[in-house]
Amino acid sequence: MNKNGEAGMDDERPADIGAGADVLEARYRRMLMLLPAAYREHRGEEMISTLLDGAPEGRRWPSVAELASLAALAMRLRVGAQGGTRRAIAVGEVLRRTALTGLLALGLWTGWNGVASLVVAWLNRSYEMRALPASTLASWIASDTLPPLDYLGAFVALLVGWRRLGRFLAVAQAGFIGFAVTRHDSFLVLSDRMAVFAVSLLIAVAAGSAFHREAPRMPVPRRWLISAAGLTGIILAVSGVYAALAFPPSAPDVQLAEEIAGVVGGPLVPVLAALFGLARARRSPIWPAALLTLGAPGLLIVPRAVIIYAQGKYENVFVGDLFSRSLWPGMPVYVLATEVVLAAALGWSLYRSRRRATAVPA
Amino acid sequence: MNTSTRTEQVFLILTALVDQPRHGYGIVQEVARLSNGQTQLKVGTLYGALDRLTGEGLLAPDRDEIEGGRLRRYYRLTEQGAAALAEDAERLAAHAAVATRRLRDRGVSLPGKLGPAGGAA
Repeated sequence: MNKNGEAGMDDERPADIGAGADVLEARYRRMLMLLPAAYREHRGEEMISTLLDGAPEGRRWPSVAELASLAALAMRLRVGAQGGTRRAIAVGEVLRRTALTGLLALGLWTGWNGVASLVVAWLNRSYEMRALPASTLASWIASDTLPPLDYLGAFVALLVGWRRLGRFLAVAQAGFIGFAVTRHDSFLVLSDRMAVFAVSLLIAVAAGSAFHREAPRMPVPRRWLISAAGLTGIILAVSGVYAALAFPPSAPDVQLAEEIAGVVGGPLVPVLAALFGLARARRSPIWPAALLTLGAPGLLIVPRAVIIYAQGKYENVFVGDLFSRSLWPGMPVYVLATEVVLAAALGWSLYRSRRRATAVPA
Repeated sequence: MNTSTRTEQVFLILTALVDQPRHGYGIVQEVARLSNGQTQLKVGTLYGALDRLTGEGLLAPDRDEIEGGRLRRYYRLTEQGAAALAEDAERLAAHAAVATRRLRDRGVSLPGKLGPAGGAA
């Protein structure tokens, strides 16, 4: 056999000649260290053969394209591609759920804010608003409608298998949020906006890495879409009931919309996440892990609350710049409590699955 | 993976293994030859595809050989893989035939094998 894998036509391997081949082989072996150990053990030697066979004479370093291709394979293997370990498959499952849930949550949140803002603007067509230049009005409408379209578009695209579009939109939303944060916030590290940016960055990374071309398709996309519709219904119903009970009919529309946004952006979503994580923990640790991961960047708002509390500004403890108009301003507490509940659910679920795995049949 | 989501690279890998089992570099060379040098498989792409196609039962490891101190693992097309490739080839040929016929109807002159003497339509 020759190096083309064909019988009867033996030929030379150019890269074999001299010490250069040894140097190149050593560098290829170092490059293969990017791969998970189990995969390297299974595939490493044949990959070395393939790489050396394809190397032109005199080459001493792996090419950038080879390195990029191998790094991409290593990343795919770590998030659930065929050939990866059970742990890698689980990581892929967690990251795909993190990305989809995050896109849905942020889509609903920004969607509600956008719709409410546009409705209120329409109902209160003031003189000032009519006097706004068309370009200002257009950019204002765009900033209210584009983020939810991006989030929900990415959610649907990833769910139905349009991965390139979904990944593009998931990365684009992080760029959009990052741009908005740098324009509006001078104290990035300890701000609510930074937490939102960190969540959107996490979603972009999770979507970009876990929805690779070799990742399994999401099972039963219809169930996700039905759940999304159900979640929207719950949020609207709770907000509606709350608005009916707490506000007189004479309340201004602006105030009403803001208060409902406060409920949606306040305790409701964290409570739903904690309950769902607890309910799914009985079956597997995947959902508690996904929700815990998604909420982790939200903890960035906790230090700020602690600092404000330490400064004696008790009335501001639960009020950050982003949630300052919330009726129930307790976001650091909600996020912290949710993360604690989800961490406990994850620990319990992992303990249960380990016990099941090591149980001796009677 | 269903038919419509198999990429051109995967199609070429399956085609490269129709006539005989090949090892990794053999597949890279054959794919380059089949595509007139337009598709140059990189090692990460190749082994990602081999893992997936082996997992789906379209390819199977054939044998291992040691040559010059190096391991060469050969892959062969399974019956299931041949059936999947035949399905893909039929679908692509049907699409190509439609495209060619419509281009001729429009009066577009087709280069190469699809030209006046070609028989794709």
